Amino acid sequence: MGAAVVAVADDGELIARYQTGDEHAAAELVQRHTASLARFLAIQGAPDEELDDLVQDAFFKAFRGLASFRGGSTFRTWLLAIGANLLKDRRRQWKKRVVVELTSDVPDRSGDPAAEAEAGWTAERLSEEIGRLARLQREVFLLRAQQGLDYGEIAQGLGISEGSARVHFHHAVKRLKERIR
Amino acid sequence: MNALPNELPDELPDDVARALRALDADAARRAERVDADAVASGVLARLREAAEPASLPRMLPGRWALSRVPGWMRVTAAAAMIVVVAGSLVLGVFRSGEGRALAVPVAAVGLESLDAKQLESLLRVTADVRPVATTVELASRSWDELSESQLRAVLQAVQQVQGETL
Repeated sequence: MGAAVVAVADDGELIARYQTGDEHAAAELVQRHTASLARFLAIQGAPDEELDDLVQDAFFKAFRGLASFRGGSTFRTWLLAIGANLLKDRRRQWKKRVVVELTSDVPDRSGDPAAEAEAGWTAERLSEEIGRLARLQREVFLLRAQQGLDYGEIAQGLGISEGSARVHFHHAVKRLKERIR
Repeated sequence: MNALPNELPDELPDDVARALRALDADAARRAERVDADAVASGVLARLREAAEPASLPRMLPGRWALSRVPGWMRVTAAAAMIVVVAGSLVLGVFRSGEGRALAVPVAAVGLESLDAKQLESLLRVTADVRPVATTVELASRSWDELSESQLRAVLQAVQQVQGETL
């Protein structure tokens, strides 16, 4: 008669269940990681009309390639890395760089129109500069600063060393700081 | 100057952090429009689709096409083949003047594909061709050289073949 305990399966368990044919486990993984994947792609300039497709393609590729997922990184990091690769390939197809168009409904935290305009302008500049970073610098920067992953996970997900991840982050920050002033 | 990687500063400068927050808020707002349920359905459907072809029996294109051809059309095609063969027999007799020519086109039909009735028709046709052919002079080598009565005999033979088979 004790209180009901709802066990939440971790990603590893869900992956194992999906591999034995449990589609609900796959659906649960998609539910769990769609928002962060979409956010990760959106901040890199994926156009709104392409976001759904990109997210779906990334999950599809991830599930199809589960045999090569060794669990060194988390499923989320691995998925984000797949998403970044897809976005890179799509950019080649689009043949032009997509720049995020910040709309006027970027949250206003100050209530001051001048401050809001300046924040919007800076954010726009930052978006452009993130797009100009070298690929690894950009991915490490966003995985760390936007997704909040630690260097060990980033390194595993991108197939680089932890020290290298730190260096890429450092250079990215330095460059962004110089450019948005 | 050469700092070790783990000594590199990890914090974001204020202006970069502020801009990133604004940018991320916009990205999060755009990401909210992505329907996770729809993504899950789409992904699962694609995964099922990708898994399906291996479990379905594969048929050769020719067999696939033949299995969808109506029965009456197959019978008509077989009859048309018999007419063509019979025509070839007539010409073969004209050209060679010997019964040996008969064996060649008949073998090309694929006798195993004919049913008993069709085989019977074919036998009757080949039996009828000889008498017609023997009335034609063996020296004839082309249609232009046939007389009107010979042409009529050939035409009757072909019509007879068609009447037998259709």
